[in-house]
Amino acid sequence: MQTPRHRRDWKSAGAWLLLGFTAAVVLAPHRLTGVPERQAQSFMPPSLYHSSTAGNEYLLGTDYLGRSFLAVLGVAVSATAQVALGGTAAVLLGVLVVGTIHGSTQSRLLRSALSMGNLGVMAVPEAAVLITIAAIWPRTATTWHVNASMISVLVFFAIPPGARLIAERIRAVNKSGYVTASRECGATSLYTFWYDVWPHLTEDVAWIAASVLPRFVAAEVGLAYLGVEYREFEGLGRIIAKSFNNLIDSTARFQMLVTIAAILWVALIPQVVLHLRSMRAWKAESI
Amino acid sequence: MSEILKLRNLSVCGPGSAEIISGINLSLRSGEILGIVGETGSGKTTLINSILGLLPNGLRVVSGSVHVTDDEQTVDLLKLNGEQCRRYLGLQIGYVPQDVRSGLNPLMTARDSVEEGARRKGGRYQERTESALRRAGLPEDFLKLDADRRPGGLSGGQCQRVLIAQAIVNKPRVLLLDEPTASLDPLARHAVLDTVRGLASEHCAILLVTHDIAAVAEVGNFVAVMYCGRIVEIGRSDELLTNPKHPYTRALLECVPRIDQRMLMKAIPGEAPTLASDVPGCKFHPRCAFCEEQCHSEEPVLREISNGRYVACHLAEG
Amino acid sequence: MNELLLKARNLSFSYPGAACRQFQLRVDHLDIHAGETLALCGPSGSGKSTLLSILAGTTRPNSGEVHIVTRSGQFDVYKCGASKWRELRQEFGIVYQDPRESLNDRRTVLDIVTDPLRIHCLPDKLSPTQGILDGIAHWLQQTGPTRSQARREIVLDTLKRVGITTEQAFRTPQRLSGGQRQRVALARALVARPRMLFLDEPTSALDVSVQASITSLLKSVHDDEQQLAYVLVTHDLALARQLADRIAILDRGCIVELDTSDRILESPSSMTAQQILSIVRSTSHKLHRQNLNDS
Repeated sequence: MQTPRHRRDWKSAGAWLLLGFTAAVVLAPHRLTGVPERQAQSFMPPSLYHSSTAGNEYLLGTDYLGRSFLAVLGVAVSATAQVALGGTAAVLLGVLVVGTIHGSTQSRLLRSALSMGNLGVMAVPEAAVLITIAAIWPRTATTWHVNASMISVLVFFAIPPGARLIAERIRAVNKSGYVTASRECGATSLYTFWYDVWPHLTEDVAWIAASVLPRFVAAEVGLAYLGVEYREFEGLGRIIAKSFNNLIDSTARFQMLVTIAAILWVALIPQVVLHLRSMRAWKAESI
Repeated sequence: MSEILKLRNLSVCGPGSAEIISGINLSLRSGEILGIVGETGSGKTTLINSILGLLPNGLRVVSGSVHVTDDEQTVDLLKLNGEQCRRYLGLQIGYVPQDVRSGLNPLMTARDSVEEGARRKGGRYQERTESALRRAGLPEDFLKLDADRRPGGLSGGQCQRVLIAQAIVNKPRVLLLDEPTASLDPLARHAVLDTVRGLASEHCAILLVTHDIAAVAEVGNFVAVMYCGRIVEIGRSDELLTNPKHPYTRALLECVPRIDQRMLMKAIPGEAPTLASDVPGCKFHPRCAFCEEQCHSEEPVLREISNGRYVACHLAEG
Repeated sequence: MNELLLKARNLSFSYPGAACRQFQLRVDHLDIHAGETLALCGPSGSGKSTLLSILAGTTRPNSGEVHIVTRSGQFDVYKCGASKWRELRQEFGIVYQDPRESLNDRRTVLDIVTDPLRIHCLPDKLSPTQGILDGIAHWLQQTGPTRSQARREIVLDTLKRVGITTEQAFRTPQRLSGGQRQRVALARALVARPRMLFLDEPTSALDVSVQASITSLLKSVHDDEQQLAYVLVTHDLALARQLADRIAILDRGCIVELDTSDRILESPSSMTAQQILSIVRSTSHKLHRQNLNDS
């Protein structure tokens, strides 16, 4: 039995997005570092490791502490992806809530309040706010607070444009004949939203997610590079920052390139997937 | 009188070189009304768009010519570049689009929409605007009260006539009408057809594309029946509609509901093929009641069976 | 006389805003009985579509009442509260003018036509929570068809009735022709087995060749379900004649004539009807000259 087309679309777009990241977030630390005892061993410098072939069995060599670089990279990708996914999820939630209220509310007061809020947020330069926040924290503040505040600023700034897009789409779909038709069949607003409006939003939501995600990756990497990172946080930015310290070593240079590739992968894979998909759709349309 | 619009062997291809319309020959003299009838997907609108050079992305003219004659010269519209073409569109050729609501700028009043076109020719454009609105069949009190409204405040019939006014404001020699009577009630439809007839009497050559055969029967001098991007029958409207030769024309006429009897009309069985290349032989044979062996393999050509009457059917006789 | 389904009393309606202030709809008395076919005809702007949407319970009139008689009693459609209103929608089936507009292109035909069943918790009238529990019970016991299978059966049957194949049911409306889409719209209106069917210009957005087949489909549906009432809005008197027993002629918001279709078409008494008929006759005469000569 075939599933409805929009569900299949959602699956093909969403599945790619989610699959890569869930794999990165959940599986990477476990797969790459192995069982706990082994993990404890592999975090030991090779000189203390009892195996005679110590150091050579690691695919990408070891880092400056003698840990398997692949494992370190895996943990880092997972950490960065967690931040990025968390931030993106927060943005999507905000976008959908604000967008739905904005797009379907009948109350003029609420609508104008939302528009004013959006305009207000968009009128302020984002970079200025980020710099101010970085400067305003006292020296004694934990890096955790600094990072969380920066991420939440990013989330806050990403909501208005996305919400506007969603609101416009919802408004357009709500005016269409099929929404009228299903209302006149006796459907509740929730029913109409899920069955008639949502299929028109999936694409926008995927695009918003794909365009917001790299911001969080960039923020994490950038903050770590600038040294404002959360010390216990082993993200991709931390590795990059560290590998700059010993660039004379050829393994370290190679490892840095691998790390950059991993950053690009985390940041851009959803965009690439969506581009491929839209090209396929475009091709299918033109035939 | 001389031929004003002349189409020779016009073919349009879609992506994958599937023919959307193929080998269309038409000519139109001033004061004549040619009705083109056919179902959705028969290529009527594509034909108009290819004359205007407004083909949507992916479609292109592969062969043929569109000659337009004005006072000085005859030109092939397809060979002109954009700048030269614009000298003809809106000035020598008027066009009334199919979709009434989206054809008018929603932010402009009816009078401004018409005036915008009139300004292109210059001169006393305000006078021409008023006279165009009148000639399009809009009553005097519309000019006083409603002409300064935006399309949202006008009825479908009024919008339709504003569009016609927009098309005729520069007194074009050729007028292309795409479904001007669709979704109008009988009274509004009657008024629009009256307007069309009036324009023809002002020596305008009119191409009327519609699926409303009754409208063509009322105003058309000539009728061309299109099926799958081909003209299957063409002739004088009184002859063709009273004595159809092609089975498709006959079936189409039988579909029209009748006011004088309570009986169900015969629908044409099956669906029109979306791409003509899917069907070998005569494109109509899968739905034809008179289909013979020959029709499956051989595509009939348009041939003259009596004076001025062309039919593309193996079985038609004079 | 058949059972009374809907009665409208002292309706009046005018659109808000200055642009439409000349127009006012006034209908004092209109009844719809089971099995009858009523056509609302008139020039555009006469208020026929507005009247239809008031009768169908979707546009609230400024004053007046629309009562619907259901199996469980009589209700005023506009005074019964939102949840009752939604429940009452089951009695109404509506087919709109343009099937491209009224069907969601992102969903399959099957999904669209299942809507009324899901909304009204048909065929077993279980509430959504009960439905989920029932589904779990089914999953545990593995007996008989599940709820969604039962629904699919009903939907496919209805689609077959209007001439849509199972293969077509899995397509999106984009991949169907105009006539097929209108058939799907009709199936959606019929699937919850309403007692009244409201048709708003059901054929005017279609080709002539397709109009005839949709008209005969509507007729055969009515022949199958003798108790189903049709309310039809059209400006095509020939269509009204084929489908309707009674015709109401509207002009500027008032019903100027209401009679059996034969009598209206033979001897119209109102000016509007006479005017429309003379135009339609002259057109029809030109087109069917040959056939008239034959007979």
